[in-house]
Amino acid sequence: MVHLVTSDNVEFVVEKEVVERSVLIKNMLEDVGESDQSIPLANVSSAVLRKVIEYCEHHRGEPLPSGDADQNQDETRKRTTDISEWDQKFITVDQEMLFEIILAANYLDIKSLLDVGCKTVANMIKGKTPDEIRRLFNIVNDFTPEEEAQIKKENEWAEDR
Amino acid sequence: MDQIPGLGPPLQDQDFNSEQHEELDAVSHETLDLVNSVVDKTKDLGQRLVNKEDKITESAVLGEELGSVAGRLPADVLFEIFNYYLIDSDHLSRRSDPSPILLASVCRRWRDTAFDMAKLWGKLSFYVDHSSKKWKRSALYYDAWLQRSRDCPLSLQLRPGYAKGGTAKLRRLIQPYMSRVSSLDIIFWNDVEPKNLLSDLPETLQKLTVNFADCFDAPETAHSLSELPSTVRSLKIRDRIFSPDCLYSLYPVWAHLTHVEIAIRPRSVLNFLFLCPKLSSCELILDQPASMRFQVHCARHPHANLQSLCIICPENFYFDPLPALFNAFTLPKLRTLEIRYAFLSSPHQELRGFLKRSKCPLEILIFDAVVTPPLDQQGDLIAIIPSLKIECRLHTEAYEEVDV
Repeated sequence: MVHLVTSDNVEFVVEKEVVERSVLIKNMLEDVGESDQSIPLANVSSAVLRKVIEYCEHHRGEPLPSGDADQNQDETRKRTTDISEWDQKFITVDQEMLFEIILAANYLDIKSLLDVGCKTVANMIKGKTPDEIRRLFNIVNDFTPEEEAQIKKENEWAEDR
Repeated sequence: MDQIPGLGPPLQDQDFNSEQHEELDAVSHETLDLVNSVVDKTKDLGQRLVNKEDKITESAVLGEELGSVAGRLPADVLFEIFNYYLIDSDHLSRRSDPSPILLASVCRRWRDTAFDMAKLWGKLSFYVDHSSKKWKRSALYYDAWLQRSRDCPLSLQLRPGYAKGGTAKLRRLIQPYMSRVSSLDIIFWNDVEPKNLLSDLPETLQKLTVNFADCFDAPETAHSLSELPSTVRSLKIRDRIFSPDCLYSLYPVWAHLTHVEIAIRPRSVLNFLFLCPKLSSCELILDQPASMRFQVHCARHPHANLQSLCIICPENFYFDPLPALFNAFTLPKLRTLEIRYAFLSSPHQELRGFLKRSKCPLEILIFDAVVTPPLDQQGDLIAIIPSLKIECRLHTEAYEEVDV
C-alpha cells in the first residue's frame, strides 16, 4: 500500500497497482523503493485526489501508454474526441473540479485522465463564439484596442461570403 | 378662575393636562411600536442585504478562482485542448467552426498559444473568391495562415471555384509551401486547367483526392496523374470513371499505392488489382454505360496484400457483375469486405466459393443493400469462417449513379 498526503493534509492509503497509473508516483516508488513513508502531493487537494483515485481504481489493470510510444500510437490515441461512457459520467463535475482534475492529471502524469479532461474542455468549446467561451470559463478579454481591431478584420474576412 | 402664583394650574387645567398626557403617552407608545417595527424590519432587511452581499461576494470570489484555475492551465495542457478541439476537422476553411481563428480571438494568452502551435494551422481549405479585390484580401489571410504552420506538414483542400483562372491563382498562392504538402484534396468545379494543380506535385505528397465536376478531360487528367511522385500512397478519384486506357496510362503510379478509391468498369477490376500489387485497402465503385455488356475475361489472379475491400455496385446494370467478380477474386489476406449493391440478392454461391478459395482471415463482412442475405445464407458463410461477423445494413434507396 502507498500513503499519499494531500495539500490539505489528508492521508490516503492506496493500492500500489492503482496509484501506479500515475507515472510521477510510479517513478518515485521505483526511485525510493519499498517504504512506509508518505508521499506528499502539495499540488493536489483531498477532494481532487479522491476523484483521481476513483479514476485510477476504475482503470486499474489497463495497459499504460508506454513512455517510448511512437508518434503513430500517439496519433491513434488522439484521433478522436470520443469519451467512453464511464469516463463521461466520471468527468461530469463542476468546472472548478474539472480544471483541478486536469491540473492534477498533468502534475501526476496520468496521460489517459489528462486526455479525458482535455477532450471534455475541447467539446465544451466547440460551437461557441469567442465571447461565449470567455463567459463560459470566466476569461477576461485582455486585448488592446489595436488587437481588437485586427481580430475584427480577421473575423470579417472569415465571415465574408 | 385666576391662577395663584406658585401653585399649579387650576384643577380643570390639571385634568386637561392629565388627559393630554395620557393621549401623548398612547401616541408615544404607538409611535415607539411603529419605530420598533420599522427598526426590526430594517434590521431584517439589512441582514438579508448582508446575506445577499455575502453570496454575491462568495460567487464573485468563486468566479475569480474559477477564472484563475482556467488561467492556470499550463501551455502544454492548453495545447492538448486546442489539439482536441480541431482534431476531428479534416480541412479548416476560413468559415469553419471549429477554427484556430476562433481560439485566437478569445484572449491574449489563447492567441499567443494558438499562434505558437504550428500544428493548428497545418490544415486549410482554400476557396477562390469571384471578385479579384476579395481574392487579394483572401490571399493575404491565407498566406498568413500558412506562415503560422511553420515547418508542419500541410493538408490542403483546394477549391478553385467558378472564378476565372482559379487553378492558376491557387497554384501561385500555395507554391512557396508545396514542399511541405503531404495531403491534397482538390475539388474542380468549372476550371478547365486541372494540370495547374495536378502537375509538379512535391515528393512529400502522400495522399491525393481529386473531385471532378462537369468539365472532365479524362486523358489530360490521367496524364497529369501519371506523373504523381512515388511517395503518394493514397489516391481517391471521386465522381468520374476512368476508361481502361486511362487506367493503364497511370501504370507506374498504381504500383506504389496502398489505398485507392475510384470508379471503375467491372471488366477492369482484376486488371486494376494486378496493377496495384501493394494495395492493402480499396473502395471500388462499379460503373459502365448502360449499353455496354458486362464481361469479365480475366483468369483468377490472387492479390497478395489486399486486406480491406469495399465494392459499390449501383443499380444501372442490366447484369449483376458481382457473381463474376467473386468467381474471379482470390484474396488470401482479406480481413474486411463490404458489399453495397442495389440488386435483390447477394452473390451467395460465388461468395462461398471465394471464401473457400481465398482461405482469408475475414473478420467482418458487411452487406449494405436493399435486400440483405437471409439468415440461412449468412450461416453458410459463418460455417466457412466461424469467427466471421456479418453486419447487414438495410438500404431503402438505390445507390446514385456515377457520371460517366
